[in-house]
Amino acid sequence: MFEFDHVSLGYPTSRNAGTKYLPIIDNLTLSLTGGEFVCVLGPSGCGKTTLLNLAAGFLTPDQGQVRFDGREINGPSPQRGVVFQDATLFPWRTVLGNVMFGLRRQGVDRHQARLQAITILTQVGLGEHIDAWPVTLSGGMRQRAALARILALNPKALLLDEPFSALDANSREHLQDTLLDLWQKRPRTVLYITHSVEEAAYLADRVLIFGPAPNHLCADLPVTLPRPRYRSSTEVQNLARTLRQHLNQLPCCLKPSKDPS
Amino acid sequence: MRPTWKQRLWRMIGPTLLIVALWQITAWGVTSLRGVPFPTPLVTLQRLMELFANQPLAGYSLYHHMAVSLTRWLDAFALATLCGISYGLLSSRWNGLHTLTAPIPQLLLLIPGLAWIPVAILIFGIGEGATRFMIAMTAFAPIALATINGIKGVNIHYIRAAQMLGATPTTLFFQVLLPSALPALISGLRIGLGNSWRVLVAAEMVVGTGSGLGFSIIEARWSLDYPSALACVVIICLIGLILEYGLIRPLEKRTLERWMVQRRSNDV
Repeated sequence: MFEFDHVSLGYPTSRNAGTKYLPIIDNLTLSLTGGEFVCVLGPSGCGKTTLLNLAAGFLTPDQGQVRFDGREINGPSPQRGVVFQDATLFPWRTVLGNVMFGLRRQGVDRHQARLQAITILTQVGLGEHIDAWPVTLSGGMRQRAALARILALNPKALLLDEPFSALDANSREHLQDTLLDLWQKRPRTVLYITHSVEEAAYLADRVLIFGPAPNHLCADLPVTLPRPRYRSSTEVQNLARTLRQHLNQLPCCLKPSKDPS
Repeated sequence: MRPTWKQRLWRMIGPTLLIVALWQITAWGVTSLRGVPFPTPLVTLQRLMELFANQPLAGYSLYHHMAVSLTRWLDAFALATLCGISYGLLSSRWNGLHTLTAPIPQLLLLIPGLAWIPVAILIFGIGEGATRFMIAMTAFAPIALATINGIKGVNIHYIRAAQMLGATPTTLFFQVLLPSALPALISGLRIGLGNSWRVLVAAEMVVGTGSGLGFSIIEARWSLDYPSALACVVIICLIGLILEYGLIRPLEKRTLERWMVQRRSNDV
């Protein structure tokens, strides 16, 4: 589904003498299978978000190719829905207006778009809040709306960049369950960036431990635990422990760099 | 916490009393030291009442002067707003235009409104055209710059989100960039409004349009009718306040209330 083919992305630095190229993603080759729920774990600053931005088409690689369904990605598309860390709903539109925005852009007529938006908002648990302005919603509700906004377009892949990390534990777990539920009803490729080992252990089919350039893929672990999983079950806890051990071998966070994302 | 009506009333009355007191002290001081009759607040208020009761000033009623000034200002301000926003949008859309014209509004911002007098008179001759030209020139630059800066400052995540949802460049522009630039645009309107209202009065004083509040101040001065001159200043302030509180503030409040999310995330 997603293929990263010897992908490099960086920025030139001209500190002191000469121009140096500082890679964020360095010669990464990776492929994600259709319908797979992939979590990417790793210290901050190692290029996780850049990876997602490449998959989304927000960034173009300097070298190599990113392909989706066999075709080179050349820009953002409703086929690859993105949920950002910050919900980024348009504050000048109501929740319903935000969900309708994408549908209308696909040429769905106003009436139909309204109905579809209401359906999907009900599915994510916002049926009561369709006419609310984003500013009046809690963080969790905003992320639900952001999720509804892309699910309405029925994308082939979901790209989520630490979507629930700013939420309180309770909202986070609820949203994880909503996401899993919707994903199980209609499996699609999910690329889920996170820094929480518990989250990865609970959600993923496959966990990628991402490290700093040039050796990005520190570990590529398939998760075979059956679903539904339980957060407190020994299996999930054991998996989280294994993931944490992998993560502990990496520096906790890398020096901040000017990320072009 | 919302202020109670008592606090609000005090916030209005307190500064007013202070201004009136300072005015009164100035009037007493000037009258006793220089021996010239400086109108006190009370005298001015009396004159204002007479004017409101339709006593003519410089050949017309006060209402006529107010109406004439407001019409001039509204015409020219509307034109400047239209041009300023359109220019700002076009220049954000086309880099070439921006490169070519970017210094112009910056320069315009540096030119004091009254410096346009010779230019205005040369182009339009003495009269309405010149006044309107001056108003429009002073309002244009802040509005244009605010539009450009507003669009430049749009959170990149909004742009990415819109593109990911399938927005074409045109929809992106009108449905994302423009609304998210709105708070900045309103500040631009506020500055443009203040500038142009001030230059309106000054322009009427100099360009000699035969009516209007600014013209009345100068006429009252020639006829040594100082209370009328000060009464006109009071009217000018009041109209300015009404425009600010009746037009800009409500607009700003409505926008900012909803845009707060964006504001907060932009601050980070």
